[in-house]
Amino acid sequence: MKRMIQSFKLDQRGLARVFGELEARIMEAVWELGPATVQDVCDHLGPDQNYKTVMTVMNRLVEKKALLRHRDARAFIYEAADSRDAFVQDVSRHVVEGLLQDFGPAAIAQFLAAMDTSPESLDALRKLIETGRAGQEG
Amino acid sequence: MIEIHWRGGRPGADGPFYALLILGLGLVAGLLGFILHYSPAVAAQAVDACLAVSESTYTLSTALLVPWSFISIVVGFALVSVVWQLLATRHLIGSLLRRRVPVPDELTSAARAVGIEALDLVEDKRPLAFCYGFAHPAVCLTTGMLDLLNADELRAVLLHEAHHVVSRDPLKILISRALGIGLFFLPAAQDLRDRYLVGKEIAADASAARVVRSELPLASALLKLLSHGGATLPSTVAAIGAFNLTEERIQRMVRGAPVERARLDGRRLLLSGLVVGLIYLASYLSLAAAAQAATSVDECSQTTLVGR
Repeated sequence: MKRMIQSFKLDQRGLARVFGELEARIMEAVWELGPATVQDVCDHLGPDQNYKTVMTVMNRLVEKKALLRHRDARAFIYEAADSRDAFVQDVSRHVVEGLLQDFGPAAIAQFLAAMDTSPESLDALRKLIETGRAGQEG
Repeated sequence: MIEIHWRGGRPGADGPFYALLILGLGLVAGLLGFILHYSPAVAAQAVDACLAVSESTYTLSTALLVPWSFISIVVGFALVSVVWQLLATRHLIGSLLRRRVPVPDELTSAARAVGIEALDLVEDKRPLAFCYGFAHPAVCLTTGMLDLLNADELRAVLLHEAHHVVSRDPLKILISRALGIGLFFLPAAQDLRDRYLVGKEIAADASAARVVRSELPLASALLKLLSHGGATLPSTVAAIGAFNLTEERIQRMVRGAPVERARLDGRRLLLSGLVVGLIYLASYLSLAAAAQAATSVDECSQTTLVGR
């Protein structure tokens, strides 16, 4: 998700907050159609869509990991990496957490608050557990 | 049902918190005391008509500015920090509780058995457990945490969180961070805050270990979280000074003693004492000078009246 969403536009609405306008329309189309080819998406978007433009944007969405691409017998099939609901939920979580990071810490007491632990400490912890278990069994 | 040994007595980690609280309140109260002590002279001058054109008006208002600005800085910064933290907490808790799921009966009774009355379970892959809430602290667990831990480990984690509930740590975290920001110019205040923030985790670990009479379940819960797919909520714990919180806890479990940082740093303590002394001296000098000026202005106005 982090690599997927680089910017969040407050002046836009809906999916256009995180995607470009055409990107958002393509994502909506893929969610509606299910697995689809570039041609399917083009047809869905309307007659005045340029095939090449749509293909370029869809490949960009693959790079952003919003779409998955795999080769069928004759053409590339694209599908959404996440369901629309899961995607929206993930985006909102990401945005909220991003805001929190800028905003300052929340006042909660978390069981595990820091992950950066030295390998020596992890080893010591592992040894403590092993010796402890051996002691319990013996 | 298990016996909870520590419920009657206060856990021992609160010393630095109360020391910090006394330091903050004491500093502000002392400055207020100065102002109140010299206020008769201030009032005398304020009602004096001859004052309006006197140069000493300027002296007096600047003199009052010294202690008042110290008070405003401390109180203002602390309040900004409180508001920030409250908003951040609300956002975070709100975003998580939106995915709240029903708590299984077994979990409810496991929580009750260790003294946790309010428990939320949240659908989230990340293994998280934390205590939140200021008036009535509650514990929040994620489904990711339930999936990762076995029954013994889960009980140890619940006991750890129960300790935070009993000692109202979310409120103390809020206050100690706010005081740390309000008293940013005192190294000793930063040290006390860090000491509290680390000490409360070690005390919570110790109380959990005391109840289950072993450090093993807690240690293996910690190891699981650290080695596979552990997660922390962003921005819940800003780096705590020179401490690495998790490292300290592990050292405590492994060696039974914290890493070498037991004593307060003498130089930082001395520096803080000097800063407090300077603040008081500056306030005293400016207020005493202003009171002196006010008295002479009084005399001046009386001579004027007599002259008439």
